[in-house]
Amino acid sequence: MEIKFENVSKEFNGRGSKTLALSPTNLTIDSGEFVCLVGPSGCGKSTLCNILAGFETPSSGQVTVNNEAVSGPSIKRAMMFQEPALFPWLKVRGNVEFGLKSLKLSPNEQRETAERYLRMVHLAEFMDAAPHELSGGMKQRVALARALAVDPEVLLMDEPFAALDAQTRDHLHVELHKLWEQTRKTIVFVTHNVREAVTLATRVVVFTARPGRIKSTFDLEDLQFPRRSTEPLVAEMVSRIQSALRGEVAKTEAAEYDHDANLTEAQ
Amino acid sequence: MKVLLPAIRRSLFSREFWSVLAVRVLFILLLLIIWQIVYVIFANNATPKTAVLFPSPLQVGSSLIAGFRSTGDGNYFHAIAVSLWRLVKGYCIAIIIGFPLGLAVARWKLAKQTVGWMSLSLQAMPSIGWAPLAILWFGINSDTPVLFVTVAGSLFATVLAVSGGIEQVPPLLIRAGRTLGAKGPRLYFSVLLPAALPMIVNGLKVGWAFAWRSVLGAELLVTAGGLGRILQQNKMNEAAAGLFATIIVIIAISLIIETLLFAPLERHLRTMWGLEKS
Repeated sequence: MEIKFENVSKEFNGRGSKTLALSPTNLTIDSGEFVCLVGPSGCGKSTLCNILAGFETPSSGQVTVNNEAVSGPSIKRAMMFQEPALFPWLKVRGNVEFGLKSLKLSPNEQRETAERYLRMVHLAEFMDAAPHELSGGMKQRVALARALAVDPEVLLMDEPFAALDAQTRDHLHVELHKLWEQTRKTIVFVTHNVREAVTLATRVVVFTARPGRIKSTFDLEDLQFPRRSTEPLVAEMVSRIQSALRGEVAKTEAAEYDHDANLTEAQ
Repeated sequence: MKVLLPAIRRSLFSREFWSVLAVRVLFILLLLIIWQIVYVIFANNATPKTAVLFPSPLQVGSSLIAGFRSTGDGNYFHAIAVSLWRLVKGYCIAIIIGFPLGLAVARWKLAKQTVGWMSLSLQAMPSIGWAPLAILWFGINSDTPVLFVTVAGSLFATVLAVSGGIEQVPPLLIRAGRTLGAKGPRLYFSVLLPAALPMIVNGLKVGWAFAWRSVLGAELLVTAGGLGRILQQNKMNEAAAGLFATIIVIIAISLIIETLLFAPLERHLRTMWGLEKS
C-alpha cells in the first residue's frame, strides 16, 4: 500500500478573491506508517487530509492510493473527525456496524466484528448504550472502533482528540498506540499538538504557514515506544519540532495582525 | 408505534407529567374564576336581550353535558368522530403526498426551485381560501370539500418540514456516513432521514395544527356535520353557551393530541438524538 500526493494544491474561492490554502505538495506514505501532519492553523494540513479522504478535490495534482486515483469518499479511507460524529439514532453497537453493513457482512459477522472492536477500545459493556449516554472520550473511542472495524487501507484522523481534556487525551494516546501496534494500520493523523505527534508518529511532517507547504520532515522510526515526555530523546525531538514550528506560528499571527491593522487603517 | 407507545407511557408515568398537570388544572380554575367575575359584572349591566350573549361557566358546563347527551347530528361524540376522521384522512393524504415531495425538494435543485418555491407561497395562503372552490366542485353537503381544504392546509407544511429537516442535517454526519461507505439511497435513508427526524416530527406537528384548523374552518361552510357545523348551528340559534361549549371541546381535543401524542414523541426523539437532557 502506498499513498502518493503529486503536486497537490488547493485554492479556496473567497468573496472575489482566491486563497491558496495549500501550495503544490508532494508526499509519499508507505504501508504501516503513522504519519502526523503538524502545522499552524490554516496551513492546509486538514485540507490535505480531506483531499485524501475524498471530501475535497485538489485544485491541481492528484492523490493516488495503490496507484488508484482518489475520486470521492471511500470506506477504504475511513476518517475520524474532531467531533465523534456518532449517529444518535443508533446504539453504540449500531454505530460500529454501520460501516460493516456497507461491506455487506452477514448480520452475524457484523455483530462479532463490532464486538471485537468495541472490546479493543474497552467499551464492550456499553454496546447497547446510546451515544448521548457516553462521555466525550468514550464517544471518540466508539468513533475509533467504528473507523477501525471496516479495516480501511488507511485510517485518517483529523485532530481527533483536540476537543478532549488532557487526561482523556493521554489515555487515548496509549490506546491508539496499542491499536496501531496490534493492527499496523497506516494512519494519517492531523494535529497542531507537537507532543501528541511525537508520542504517536513514526514520521512527523511540519507545514509552513499559509499557503501551506511541507517545511520539514522528522523521522521518528528509531525513537523507542512508549514515548514518555520525561525521556531526554523524546523531549529533544519535541523541542526540535517545536522550534521548526515556532517561526510558522509567528508568521500566521503576524499575517493576522497585519490584516487587522490594515482593516483598522482602512476605517 | 414501537417508539411511540413507550414514549407515551413514559411521559404518563413520569412525576413531571403529573406535577405539570396539577399546575395546569390550577391555571384552568383561575381562568374559570376570572370568567365568573366577568360574568357577574356583565350580568348586572345587561338587558334581558343581551344577557344571553355572555353565559356563565355553569351555563356552559350544562350546555357541554347536554351536548354529549343529545341525540343526532348535534351530539358531541358524533361530531368529534366525524371531525377527527376527516382530520386523520386529510392529514394522511397530506403526508403521503408531502413526504416524497419534501424528499425531492431536499434532493434535487430543480424541485427546490419549483415545488419548494411554490410550497412557500401556497403555505402562506389561508387554507379556508380553497373552500369556496372546493364547495363549487364537490357540493356543500359532502365530506370532500373539507378533505380538500385539509389537504391544502397541511400539505405544504409537510413538504417544507421534510425538506427543511433534511437541509439542516449537520454536514459532519453526512461526511461520517460517506466515509463509512454510505452512498445513494442508503445515505438518504440511513443517514439523512434519521438525522432529520426530530425536525421532521416538529414540522409534522405544525402540519397537524394546520390540518385541524382547516377541518374546522371548512366545516363552518359545509353542511355535512362535524364540530364546525355545530358552531354554525349554535350561531344561527344565537346560543352563546353552545358556542362556548363547542369551542372548549375543540380546544380540549387539540390539547389532548398535543400533550399525549406529539409532546412525548418529540421529547423522546430529542432526548435520544442528544438534543435534550433526559
